[in-house]
Amino acid sequence: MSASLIIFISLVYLGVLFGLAYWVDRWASPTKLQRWGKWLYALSIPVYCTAWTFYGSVGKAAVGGWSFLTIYIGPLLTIPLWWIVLRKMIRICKVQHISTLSDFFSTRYNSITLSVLTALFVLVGIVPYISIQLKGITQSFEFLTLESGASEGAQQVAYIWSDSAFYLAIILAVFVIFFVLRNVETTGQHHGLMAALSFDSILKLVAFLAVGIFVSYSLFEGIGDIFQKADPALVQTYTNTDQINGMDWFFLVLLSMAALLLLPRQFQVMVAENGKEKHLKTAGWVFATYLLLINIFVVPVALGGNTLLGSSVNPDAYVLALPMLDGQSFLAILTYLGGLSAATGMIIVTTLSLSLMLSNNVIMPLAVKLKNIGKLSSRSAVRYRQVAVFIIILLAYFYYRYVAELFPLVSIGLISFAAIAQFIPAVFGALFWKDANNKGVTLGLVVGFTIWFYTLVLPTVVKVGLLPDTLLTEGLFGLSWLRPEQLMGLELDPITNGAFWSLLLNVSLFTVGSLASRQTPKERNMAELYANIYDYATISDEKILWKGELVYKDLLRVSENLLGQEKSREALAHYKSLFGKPLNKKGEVDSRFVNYTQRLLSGVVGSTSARILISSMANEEEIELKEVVSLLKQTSETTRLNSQLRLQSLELKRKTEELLGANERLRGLDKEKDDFISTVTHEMRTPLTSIKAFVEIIQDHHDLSDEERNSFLETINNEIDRMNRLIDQVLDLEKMEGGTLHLEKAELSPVELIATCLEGMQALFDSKDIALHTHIDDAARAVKMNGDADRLKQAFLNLLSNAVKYARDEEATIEVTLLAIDDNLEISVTDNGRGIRPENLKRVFDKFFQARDQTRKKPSGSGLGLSITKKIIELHGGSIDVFSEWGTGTVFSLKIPLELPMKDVKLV
Amino acid sequence: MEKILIVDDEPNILISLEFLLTKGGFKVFVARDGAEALEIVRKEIPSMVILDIMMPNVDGYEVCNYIKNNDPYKNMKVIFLSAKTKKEDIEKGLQMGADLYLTKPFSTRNLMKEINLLREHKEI
Repeated sequence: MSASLIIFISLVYLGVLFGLAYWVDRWASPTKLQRWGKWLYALSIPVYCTAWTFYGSVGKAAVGGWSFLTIYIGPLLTIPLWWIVLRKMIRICKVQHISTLSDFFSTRYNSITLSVLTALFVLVGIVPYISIQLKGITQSFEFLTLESGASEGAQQVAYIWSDSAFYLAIILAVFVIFFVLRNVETTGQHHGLMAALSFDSILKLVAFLAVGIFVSYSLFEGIGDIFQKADPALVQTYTNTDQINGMDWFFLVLLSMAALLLLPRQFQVMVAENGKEKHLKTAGWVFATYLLLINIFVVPVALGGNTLLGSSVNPDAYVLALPMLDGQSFLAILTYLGGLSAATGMIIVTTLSLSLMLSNNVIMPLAVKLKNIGKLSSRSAVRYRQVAVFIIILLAYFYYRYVAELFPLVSIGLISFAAIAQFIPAVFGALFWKDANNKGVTLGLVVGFTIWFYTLVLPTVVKVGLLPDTLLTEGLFGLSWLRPEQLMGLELDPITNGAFWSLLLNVSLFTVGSLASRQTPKERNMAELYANIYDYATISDEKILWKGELVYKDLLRVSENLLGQEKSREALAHYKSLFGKPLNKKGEVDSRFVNYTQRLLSGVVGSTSARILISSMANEEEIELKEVVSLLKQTSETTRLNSQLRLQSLELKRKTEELLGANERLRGLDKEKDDFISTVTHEMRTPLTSIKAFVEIIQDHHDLSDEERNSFLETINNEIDRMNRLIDQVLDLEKMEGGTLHLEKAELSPVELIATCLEGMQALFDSKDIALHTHIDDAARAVKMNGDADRLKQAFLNLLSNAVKYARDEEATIEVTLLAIDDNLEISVTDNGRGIRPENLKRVFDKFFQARDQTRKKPSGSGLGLSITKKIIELHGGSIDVFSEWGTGTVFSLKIPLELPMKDVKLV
Repeated sequence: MEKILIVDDEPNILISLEFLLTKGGFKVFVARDGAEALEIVRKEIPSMVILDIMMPNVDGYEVCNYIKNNDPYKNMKVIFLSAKTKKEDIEKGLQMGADLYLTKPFSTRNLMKEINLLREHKEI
């Protein structure tokens, strides 16, 4: 394939990536971001899977054995710990406006030295790791272009300006500067970045699965076939678990656990970019699934590559070479893009994170020391960051170009992991052990890193001939127990050796150092705050003791310079609205306001620099331990009491409201019942009155004609029926509302039921000259449902007679439709009568509604029909609605679910 | 012939009273609601009105009020015939100037007796 094509495709990919980030930052609405937030967060975490794992997993698996899995097992094992460890880190960082690991430590251990050390150690440990990403991309690029017979690229290009890796590095640096570090404030989420990372994650997964499926089912006939055709000796390394060395596995898993939680890019993505703590829950299973999917095809691809390509191709390049073997250029390019996305994602976030550390913990403090604080501005803060980004990316590039060339790069990833693992004790102490202190942490870190360098970095220097071999074979000063790779004479795997000794001494010195020395009062203060962050989260400004003289104007000026006037004023106004004027009686700034401002500044320059800034302006006084203790004790007691009181008064308020509500409801029920009874008695008296009148007429008038007598007797009879119906309906309604009505449910056909009702009404329709139209769809025709046939008939007849009652005098039509849609039966009854006025529409289901309000002549009926119909439909789990336009007609539409819970429905 | 108006929204009441009062020698008018009743009051000026109270649009109280407060109709006898049996309802009706308040269900015999009494009273 031609180099220009690949370059073109790479640029298109980067264009899409940047466009996506830009679009999300600019155009995505807050509500959308809120909805997508947890997914963006979850899908950013696989930035863990880099080019090294994208190409290297297969390379490692092709050598044999399951050990390639260790770097995935570790992260998987951390997932149950996320809620305990990550959530606490997230909370602390949010409260203290922290966005880097070095600020996390320096705030807890109250040490600027520690923050500089952390930043430098991370830099030394991680920059080579960025380099191998660049190397991964260039190698895959060269592989693709070489395969087609192009002559260029075999050797490293002579000039930087003709090296595509250089331009890639610059492009990524520009991305970080313009898309991520655009705002003055660095804390908070960068949604564009997260979207780009999620895109990367999906792309690399899709690419890897595509290759896996291609190899397994196109080059071979399934995974079984691959194993059959593979070299038996190689297959045996997978079936024979004796190959697994427990000690090596333990350390590899431990290192990758630490890596997942503490690598700068992971800290950035998982802690600093977290929007809501509960997103951790989604992220947990998404990440687990992701790791599972991206590993499914590793062994099949490795074995397949080994069978078809053997050692003619570097196993690391199997992923690319296998599609090329079959001339699948598209798939090869997709794979290349997968690798590219794995690398770019890693480089972007790592550069971001390292540049923040470099600018906030090294450059900024230097600037404060050297410059006049008054000259510090938000512009200079941003500029330091931009400089830091270029420093990091150029360091990585030059390491890649001039140093990485000399070293075998295979284990650089693991060496980086081992470097990061040195921070385990410090993190553990910060989160859980209040007695851990600065001296212990610093001692452990320095010694741990020294041993890390001696056992893991030094041998690589020796192996390329920069130092004499005797250092490895005979040890430092000829002392054989000081041989870097066999420290104390133990014959271990080099990584295990380095990890074991560095961590052993690190942890021991951390523990001993912490126990043997005392914390400063300030450190004690922060230790309390970190360990009990959930109690202190909302009141941290009151809980950090600060004593000294600080001129209000100085503080305000610095905050205006760094935050900008507008933001600074907003923040001040917010503070005043909460706590009033930030000054004490002597006109000095009080400690709460100092802490508040310091937190705000942390968002711009990091917490370490913020602390340096404040202390360089103020005359700080020493604080005493007992002051800290009494502050924490007093506040924790008052908080406890306060929250208890608040709970109690809330409870009381709730109870009172409940009581008032119940009273109101009872009174309402009483009134409703009164109204009901008086309406019922009125409705009963009406037929009684007629009956009595006619009975007396018949008794008193013996001269009635037969016709008259019969007509009166007929009326009496009708009125008795009417009373009887009313009594039935009142009792029905009472039963339904009281919850004592049991539906006699059986399987029935709704179509048949409705047909029966319509048949019964036909004579009435005919007599009133009403045209009936029915629409029943095929699905409804076939449908069966579980219901009480008599009750449903009652409901349906009510609706029909209602429609007849209100039908127009001429050209009256009634339309009945029956549809089965999505497990629901939808029935509608439409008339073209005079309709219902909008203001009455809601009340038609009220009891006796028609009796209370009619427009013209009184329609017959009790006024209970629709109430009963509604209840019956509701007892069947359905709902009823009415639509009407005054003058054109009314539609009653009901919806009944076809699947009914089998138990008897009881209404409460 | 003496004119009488019966106002009720219940058709069977109208039928039975119409029968009785026709037999009793009245020229009978019927109205189904208050508005219709007022029309007939103004047009026919009956000497007596039998009034239901709970009716749509214009209720019986309003009709009574109109009759008793407008000169040409003042002397009409008004009989309330209502299912409202509460004491305060009855008092309200009588305060409005009604000559009689009967509750439903009513005895036709009693009603005819009262009507005849009122008729004589008027003639005196």
